[in-house]
Amino acid sequence: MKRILITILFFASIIGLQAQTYTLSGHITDAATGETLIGATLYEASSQTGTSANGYGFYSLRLPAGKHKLQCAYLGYSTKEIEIQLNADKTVEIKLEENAVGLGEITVEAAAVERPQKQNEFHAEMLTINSIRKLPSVFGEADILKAVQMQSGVKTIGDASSGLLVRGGTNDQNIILIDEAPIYNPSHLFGMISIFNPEAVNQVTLYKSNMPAQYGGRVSAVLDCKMKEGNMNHHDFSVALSPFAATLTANGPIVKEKASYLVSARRSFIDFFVKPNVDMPLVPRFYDLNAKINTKIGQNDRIYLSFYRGHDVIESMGGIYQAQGMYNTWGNTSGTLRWTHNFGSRWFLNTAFIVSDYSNDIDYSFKRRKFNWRTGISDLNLKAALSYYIAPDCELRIGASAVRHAFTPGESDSIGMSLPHHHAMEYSVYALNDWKPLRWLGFNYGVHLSAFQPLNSDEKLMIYPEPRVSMNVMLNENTSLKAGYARNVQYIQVLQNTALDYQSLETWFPAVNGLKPVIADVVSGGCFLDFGGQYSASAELYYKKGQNQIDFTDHAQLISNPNVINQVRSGNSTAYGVELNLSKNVGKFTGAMSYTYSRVIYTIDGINDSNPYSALSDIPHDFRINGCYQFTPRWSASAAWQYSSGHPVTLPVGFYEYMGQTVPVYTERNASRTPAYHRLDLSCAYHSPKYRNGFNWSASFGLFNAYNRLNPLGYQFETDIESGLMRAYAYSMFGILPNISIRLGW
Amino acid sequence: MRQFKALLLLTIVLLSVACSRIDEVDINSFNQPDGEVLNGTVAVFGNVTTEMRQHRVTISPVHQWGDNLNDLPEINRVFVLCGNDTIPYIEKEADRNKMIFVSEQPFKGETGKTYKLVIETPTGNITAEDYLTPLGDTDYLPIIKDHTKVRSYQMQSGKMAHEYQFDKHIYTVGEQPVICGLTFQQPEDFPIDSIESVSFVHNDMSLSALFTARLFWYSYHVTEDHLDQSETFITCSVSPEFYTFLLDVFNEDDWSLGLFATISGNVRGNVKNGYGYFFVSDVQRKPFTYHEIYDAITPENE
Repeated sequence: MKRILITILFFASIIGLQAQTYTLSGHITDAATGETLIGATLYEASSQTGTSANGYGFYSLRLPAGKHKLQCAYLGYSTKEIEIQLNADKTVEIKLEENAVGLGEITVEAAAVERPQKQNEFHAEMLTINSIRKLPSVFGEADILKAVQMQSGVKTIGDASSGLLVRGGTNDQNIILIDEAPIYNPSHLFGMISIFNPEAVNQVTLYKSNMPAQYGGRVSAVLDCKMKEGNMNHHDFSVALSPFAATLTANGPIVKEKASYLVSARRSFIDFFVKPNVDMPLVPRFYDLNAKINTKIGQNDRIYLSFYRGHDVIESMGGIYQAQGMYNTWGNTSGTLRWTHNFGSRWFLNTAFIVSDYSNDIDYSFKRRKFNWRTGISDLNLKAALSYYIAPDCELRIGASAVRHAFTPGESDSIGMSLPHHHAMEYSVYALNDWKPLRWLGFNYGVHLSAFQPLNSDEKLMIYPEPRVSMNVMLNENTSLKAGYARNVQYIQVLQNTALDYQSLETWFPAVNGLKPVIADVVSGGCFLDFGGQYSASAELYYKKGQNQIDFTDHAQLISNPNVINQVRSGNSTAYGVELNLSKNVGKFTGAMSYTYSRVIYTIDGINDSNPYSALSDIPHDFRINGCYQFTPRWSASAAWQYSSGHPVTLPVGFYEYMGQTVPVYTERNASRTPAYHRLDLSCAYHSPKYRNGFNWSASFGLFNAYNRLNPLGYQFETDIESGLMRAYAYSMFGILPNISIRLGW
Repeated sequence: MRQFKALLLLTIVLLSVACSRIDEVDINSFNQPDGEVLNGTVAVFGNVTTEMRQHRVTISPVHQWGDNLNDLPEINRVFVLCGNDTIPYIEKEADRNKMIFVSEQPFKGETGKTYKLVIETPTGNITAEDYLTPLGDTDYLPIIKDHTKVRSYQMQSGKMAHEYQFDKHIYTVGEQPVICGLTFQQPEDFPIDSIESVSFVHNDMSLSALFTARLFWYSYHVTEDHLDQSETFITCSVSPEFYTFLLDVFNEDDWSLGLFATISGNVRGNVKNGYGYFFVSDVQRKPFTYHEIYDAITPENE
C-alpha cells in the first residue's frame, strides 16, 4: 500500500511540476498528399525534448510557456523549423515536404534531427516504403517481407519464402498486422511474393521479441503494417507492371483535405500466357485488393475503413475433374473500421472493430479418386487504446481487446470427415508507460494481461500476465545502451507438415485438448552507436526461453487426421544470439551490413528420444550486406548479398529393403545440415522527373541470384537396392532470374 | 507496346527456365553427423504363423550413405526360440543382396507364445522377439461393417465398378483396426499367397490411438461376368507394434517434400543390433465371391 501511495505521489508530482507547461499537439503529414508520417520526429533543441508521431500521425508535446523553436524531421523529407509562442495548449498541424531525390544536405540534416529521438526508441525497426524500394527485389517489385527478411535476427529458409523466423521463433509465432487486422498467411505464389502491395503500404514496423505491452497473442515478433490513407489533396493514379503482376492504384480526395480514398488492385497474369502443361504442371495465380477510406470529422475525430482481400489459386495440369490433378486456393480477407479521437491535446483514443478470415482449400484427384481438405480461421475483434501524454517525456497507454476466434481445423466433403470446429475468446488488457525521467534515461514498461477461453470445450479460462520492460540509457550524444525483458504468451498455433512457406495444408489450432499455450521469456540488451546521423552501428544480445513449444512426432500425419493433436508433442526451447549491424544512412551511398550468430535448441519429450536437437530455425551464421548508390537524382543501383549456414534437416544416413519397400535410416532429428545458403541480387532503377501534368515514371531492371547459385529448397533420394547406391537430388526454386518492372504515375 | 509485350514474354520464358531446378547433388556436401550412425548392418524380415510351413528369415544389408554396398556379415547360426524349444534354420540361398534361411522342418506357431529369433554372428547376436496374438472375432468382409459410408458405385454398359474411397482405408472389423489393401510388392517369402487381399489386425489398441491418416484404399473393379469369381481374404493378427511399424514403413516411402509428406523419422522395428521386424501371426483364410460384396454394399431397395 505504501508503495502504491509513493507511486501515485510520484506521478502527481510529475504532473504538478508541469503546471507551467502547455501542450502542443496535432498531426504530422505529407504536405502534398496529406499522408500521415508515422514516426516523424519533433524536437526542441534548447530543452532537448522531443516526441514522435504515433501510428496515426498524432503527436503531443508538453513544453514550458514561452517561445520555442522546433524542428520537425522525417527521413526523405525536408526538415521544417517551426517557431511557436506557447501561452496555452495549442494544436499545430505540421506538413512536411518530400525531398524530391532524398539526397544531400537536407537528408543528412533530417537524420541528425531525428537522431536524438530515434536514440530513445525501443527495439523497433521501422521501414518506409521508400527505403524498401531501394533494395533489390525478386520480381522487380518492392516486397515488404523480403525487406524485413534483410533485418538482422530475421531468418528464412529457401529462395521463395515469405516466412519470418525471428530470434528462434517459427513462422506462426509472428503476428502480421495490416491496419491492425491479423493476416494468417502472408504469401502469394508459394511464398515468392508477399501479400503486401507496395503501392498501398505506408510503413512497416518490426518488433523483434521485445514488443511493447499493447501487442500480444504471439511470442516471437510483431510486424505492424500501416496502409496508406489516400491523397487528401489531389487524385493520383499509377500502373505498375512486373514480370508476374500488374498493379493499378488510385487514390485521392473525396472531399478535399477532409476525406480520401485509396484503391489498389494487383493481379498476376502468368496464367494468361501459360496453361498447365507437361513442362509447367503447376500454374499459380493470385490477386489482391487493398481499399481504404479515411475521413476527418471535425478537428478531433477521424474514421478509417480499410479492407484487404487476397486470393491464390494453384491449378495443376488436368484440373480436379480429370484423372489426376490439384486445385488449391487460399486467401486472407480483413477489414478494419477505426475511429480515433483526441480528447483535447493530451488524450488520444483509438477504437477499432476488426474482422479477419483465412481459409485454405485443396482438391486433389488421383486415378479417379478425389480428395479435398479445407482449413481456416476467422476472427472478430473489438479493441480500444487510450494514450495519455502526461508530461513531455511520459506517455501512458492503456487498452483492451476481445477477439472471437473460429477455427476450422479441417473438413472434407470427399471423405465425409470434419474435425471438430473450435471457438474461443481471447481477451487482453494492457497498461504501459513510456517514460523518460532524465534526458539520458528512458523506460518503457507495462503489462499485457491475456486470457483465453475455449467456448465449446471443458477447458478452463487461461490467464497469463505478460510483463514487459525496456530501458534506454544514453551514455552520450552518440551512444546508448538498451535492455529489455518481455514475457509473451501465444494461445493459437499452426500445425503444418512441411517447412515450406507454401502453407497449403496448415491448420490453426487453439490451446485445447492438451495443446498448451506457448510461453516465451526473452531478455535482450545492446549497445547502439550513432555517428552524426550518417552512420550507425549496434550490437545486441538476446536469450529466449520457451515453454510448450510444439513439434511433431516421427511420421506425423496432419492431414485428415481426426486425432491430429496426438501427433504433437510439446517441450522447451532455448534461443540465443548476437546481432551486429553497421549502416550508412545518408549520402549518395547508403547501405547496411549485419552479422548474426544464433542458436535454437528444442528439448521435447517423445521427440529425438527426448534429447535436445536443433530447431528448423537453428541457422548459426548469417551475414548480409546491401548497398544502394545514387549515381544521379534519376539513376540508382543496388546490390544485396547474403550468406547463411544451412538449416537443420533430417536426412537419411542409410536405407534397407523391407517387404519390397525401401526404408530410410535416420540418425537424430535435424542432425544434418544443408549446404550454406548464399545469393547475390542486383538491380538498377531510373526515376523520371515529375512532369508538368504530374506524369512520372520509373523502371527497374534486376538480377535475382546473379551468380546462379543452387540453393536447395528440398531433397529427394533415389536408391538402388541392387547396387546399394543412393543418389540425392536437390530441388531449388530459382537460378539466375532477370526481372524488369515499370511504374507509371500521374 | 509490342516491344514491351515481347520483353514481357521473354521474361516469362526466362522465369520458367529459371524456376524449379532439379539437380543431383554430392551427398558428401551435407554436413552429416560424425561417427557411427547405424545401429547395425543388416535388416531382418522374418515371421512365424499359425500355418504349417517352413518359415523363413531373410537377412539383407543396410546400405550406408555414401557406401557402394555393405557386405552381409558372416552368419554362424539362425534359430528361433519358443519356451524351451529351439527351432533351427538352415541357409536356403544367398547372394550379395540377401540371405534366406528356412526352418529345417515345417512347423506352425501357437497363439499365446513368444517367439525369439536369434542370428548369431562373429561380432554378436542379432535378436528379435514377438508375441503371437490370437485373432479375435473377425469379420472377413470388412465392408459389411462399413457399407453405410459407401458413396459411389456405378453401372456402365454392363460393367459395374464399386469404388471405395479414402474413408475406406481403415475398417472396424470386430472392433479391431485393420490395414488392408496393402500395396507392398509381394515378397516371395511372404507366408500367404495374395498380398492384395491381406489384412493385418490387432486386438489391443483403439482405432483413434493408431490413426495416422495414411490414405490407404482399395477397390474392386469387376464385370458382371465375374461376380461369381472368388478370392481369398486373409487375415493376420499382429502386435500393435508391428501394426505401427507397417504404417511407418508406408509413411516413409516418400522422402520428398510433398504436400502429404510426413515428418521424417526412423521406423522402429523389434530387431536388436539391426533393422526390420520379426513378427508372428495368427493367420486365417476365408474365400468370398464378388457377389457377396455386391450384395453387401447394395441398398436393399435397389
